[in-house]
Amino acid sequence: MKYAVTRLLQLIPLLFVLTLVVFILMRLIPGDPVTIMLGHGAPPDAVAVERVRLGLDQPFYAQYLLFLKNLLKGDMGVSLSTGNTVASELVRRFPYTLTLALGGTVVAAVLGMMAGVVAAVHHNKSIDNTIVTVSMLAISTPSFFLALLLMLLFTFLLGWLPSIGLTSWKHAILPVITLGLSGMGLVTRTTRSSMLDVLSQDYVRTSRSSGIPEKITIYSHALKNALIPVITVLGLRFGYLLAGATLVETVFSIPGIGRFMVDGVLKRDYPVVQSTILVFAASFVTINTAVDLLYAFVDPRIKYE
Amino acid sequence: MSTFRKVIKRKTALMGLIVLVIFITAAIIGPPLCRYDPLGIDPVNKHQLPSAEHWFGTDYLGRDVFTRVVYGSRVSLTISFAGVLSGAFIGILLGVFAGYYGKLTDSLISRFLDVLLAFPGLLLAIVIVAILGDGVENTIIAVTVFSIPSIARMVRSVVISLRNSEYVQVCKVMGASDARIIFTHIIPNAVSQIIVNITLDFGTAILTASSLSFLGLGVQPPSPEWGAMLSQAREVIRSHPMQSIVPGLIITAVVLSFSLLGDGLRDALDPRLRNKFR
Repeated sequence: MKYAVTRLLQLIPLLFVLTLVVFILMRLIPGDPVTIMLGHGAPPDAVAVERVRLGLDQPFYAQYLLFLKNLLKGDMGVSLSTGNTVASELVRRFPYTLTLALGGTVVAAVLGMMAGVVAAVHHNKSIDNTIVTVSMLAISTPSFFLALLLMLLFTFLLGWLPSIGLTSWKHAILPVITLGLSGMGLVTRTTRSSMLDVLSQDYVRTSRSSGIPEKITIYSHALKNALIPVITVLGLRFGYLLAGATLVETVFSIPGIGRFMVDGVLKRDYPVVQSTILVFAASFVTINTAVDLLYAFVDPRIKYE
Repeated sequence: MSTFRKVIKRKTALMGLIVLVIFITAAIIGPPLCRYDPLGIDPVNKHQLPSAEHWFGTDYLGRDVFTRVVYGSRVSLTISFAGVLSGAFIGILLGVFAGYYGKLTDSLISRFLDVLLAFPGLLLAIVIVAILGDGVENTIIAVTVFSIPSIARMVRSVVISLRNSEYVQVCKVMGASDARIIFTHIIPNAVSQIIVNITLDFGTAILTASSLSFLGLGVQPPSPEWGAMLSQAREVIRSHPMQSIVPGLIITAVVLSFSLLGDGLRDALDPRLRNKFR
């Protein structure tokens, strides 16, 4: 309990620091935001009026406080390219990204844990070597290339699945499988090495020597303990995907928040870039904290020192 | 047995090493040997399949894909090596300072690393190019920043574990300067881990740089960077899939080779970890 409170209390300053860092970073971008908004030929008095309206005539700390105040109210400004509020765009796009993140993590978890256990149980046999090689390949293949290969095979050659947009569950299959396969490599490796660790423990030997069937030893005694480190990998992966599976969204033309950010960067749409980066970083550190708490809950040996 | 022997005794690591030597050689001496200009447009011969004339075929502008891959290895490997080595240099310094001096220095550096690590994966690189703009140099800087946290944390933990060891204490008592203790007594203990880390980071950097270019945020066309090539080829993937498959396979092969070599090095340099993290 004390651990949980400490961990949560650590999160708050980090979130504040992040708002400050992103705020400063955005002001490092060369060029005046008002000139970019109004175009280069804008009359000077219109520029002056706009500067006052956006609070850009205020000193730095006042601008930051205004930014923070608006942020807490959920006001993240207006996109320069679409004219919609950034918050409404984020809300509209979030379900796409959430679908991909959840689906991708679940597929990676199921495939990775199964492959990892099989590899560990058959340690140093040919099936182990095959699984290790495949997981290595999964880690090394760029997700955008894997996405293109799956698209080529299942959409263009076989014609089984659609690959543009995310309008039905069928559309979700290819992007989710891409993300699942990409994430599977690391899950496999983690499960395998943690399982190998556990299988050499005394209690597993005791269980085996007391005649308990191998299946029960592996699946109900060893696996439970072996999966603890896997939680971290999966949690990180989920947080990572929630921060925009940008590349896969790009290949499959899915209007998620990752793509929103990249379009913002390409169009120099600073309110969009600032808000998306902040939302991603904040959600990532929050999920990390949640994973740490879950970890401590699952493994009571972990205490905050 | 020497480390090199131990590494090449493992088939997978040897395979990785061979592939990398081929690509590094191609990057260094390849370009002058190529028959075609990587940017030379030849509309008559566009969308050619692989042949004796064009080993990897031609793209939508009739440019020879093999030539572009060779020139691209120069771009991609330069970004990876320059970015990771500068990132490692900064990371090692930060890690040493944080670990050796502890207290406030450690807190400041560790919080700084926390902030960097708050931007997951590619996001950190995207933030950098969002501020600096695209192009080769800025992609190198993005890779640099991206490589700092992992190596800094690793070095910090090694330094902390050695800081209070007896032999370091003895050095202090004998009046050795901090710099001498750090560079001749502490860092050598971290060298093998640093080498493994850097090798694996080279692969990650290729992935990061090609991802940025694929998104249109890194190296810009017509430069033959592998990710940029794939991004352009993607437009015609339905009719001419070869043009996408070639750069995609090349990125995969190089990244995989760095991973295999890195793992091989880890096994050779740190036998305790053998088989565990294969």
